[in-house]
Amino acid sequence: MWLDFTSFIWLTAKVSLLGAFCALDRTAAFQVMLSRPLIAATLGGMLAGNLEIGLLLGVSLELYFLCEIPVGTNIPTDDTLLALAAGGSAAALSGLPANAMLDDKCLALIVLLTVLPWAAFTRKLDSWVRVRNARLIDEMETRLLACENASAINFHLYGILNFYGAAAVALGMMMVSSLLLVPLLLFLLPAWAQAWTGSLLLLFPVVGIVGLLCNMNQKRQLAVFAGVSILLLVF
Amino acid sequence: MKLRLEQHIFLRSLCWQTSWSFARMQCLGLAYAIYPLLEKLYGKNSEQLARRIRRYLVCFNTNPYLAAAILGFLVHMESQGEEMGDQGLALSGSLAGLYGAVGDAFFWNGLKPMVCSVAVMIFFLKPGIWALVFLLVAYNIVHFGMRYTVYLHGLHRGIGVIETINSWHLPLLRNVMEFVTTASLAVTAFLLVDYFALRGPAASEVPFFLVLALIGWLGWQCKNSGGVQPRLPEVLPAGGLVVLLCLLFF
Repeated sequence: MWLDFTSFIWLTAKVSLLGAFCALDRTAAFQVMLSRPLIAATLGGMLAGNLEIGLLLGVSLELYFLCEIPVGTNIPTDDTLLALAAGGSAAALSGLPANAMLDDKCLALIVLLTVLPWAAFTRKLDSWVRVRNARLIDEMETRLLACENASAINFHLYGILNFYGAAAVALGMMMVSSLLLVPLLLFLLPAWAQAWTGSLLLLFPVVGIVGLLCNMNQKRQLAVFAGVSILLLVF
Repeated sequence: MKLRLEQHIFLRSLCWQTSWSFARMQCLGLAYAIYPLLEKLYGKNSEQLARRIRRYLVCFNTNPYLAAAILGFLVHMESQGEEMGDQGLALSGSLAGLYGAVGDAFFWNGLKPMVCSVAVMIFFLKPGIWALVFLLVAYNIVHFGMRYTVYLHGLHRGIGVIETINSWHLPLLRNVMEFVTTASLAVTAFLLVDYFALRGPAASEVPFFLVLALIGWLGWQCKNSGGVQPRLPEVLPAGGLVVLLCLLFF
């Protein structure tokens, strides 16, 4: 049922340190969508040894957080960290002999229930990094006053360390909490409920669909949605 | 200007938001990206160079992709002398607001939802990593194509880059992308029923109707609560009921 201590530490460190690079894509560099939950959860699952369950978690989270957008100074939930931690934890737990007979969807759902409460924390962490980054401007201006131009300009890149460090620490915390709580929740879940609990994972994409439709021009999009649904039923 | 310097500046702009802060937002990113040009122009006089860099440390925020257009425009202006550079900087604040609104609406509200929802649909059609490949390739072809094009147009045409972006009819494209997003969401809802094995051996369409009813009911609640996405605990009773009904009777 429980992970052994060495593999527990090793997998948490691996997902935290390597996954945090993926998290940089979110704000700090490139923004080529490596930070989307679909990619991040798959990466987390791959790092912990089960790509398939990572992919399942990624596709569940992808639509769920899609309607949160970073407009202006609004800071949305860091779905990248949640996806990485969920993918990593689920993959690590799926490898245990005690979970060999457990449905992947059921495990994915339980993992998500332990990871999602961290959503508010990820928003606060992101804000904290951005407040901390303001110090870089002061440092840079001090260097510019001393005419140390080349070293001053490189203070911009120190922001990567802030984003990376925060992501790695947060990932570690989320992974540890999930790896400890999920076996406990699985222990409490009756065996007869495990067969159908996994189907509740369906609610994540459904909520995502609702959120997206509500964010668009509702009358026009409702007509399209209804039209396509009827076409699917007919053909 | 040599091609290598142009490319160098563009590559540095990929780290545009590395030091994003609430204090002055993307100002360090702008200064960092344009630094090679400033060094080339004023590198012999370190005091003048430091003064020019400080001119760029003003509050600046825009869409990180269309920021390339402003960067190209500023490189164009700065290359023509200190006075023109100052004029460019004065204009860049207005451009930042304009491109922030246009870029956020196009990329965050249009392209990203479309590509991601189609990728999810692909996954439910054929589970596997093709969904990931599609997401990365489709998004980045459009994103890098537009990012580099607006940079080059800003660089060569200066303020004329506004005409370029205007000629692309981004709001119209966004509407088209919304249609694609909605259609792919409807297909995804249909495929969810099969993926989660709710249909049962009788292959009834009732589970799909139940999922549609759930989406409709949640949408209605979402509308009544001012467009706020429903939270999982609020969805669980109705969602659990739909899942149980499907599994037990269909």
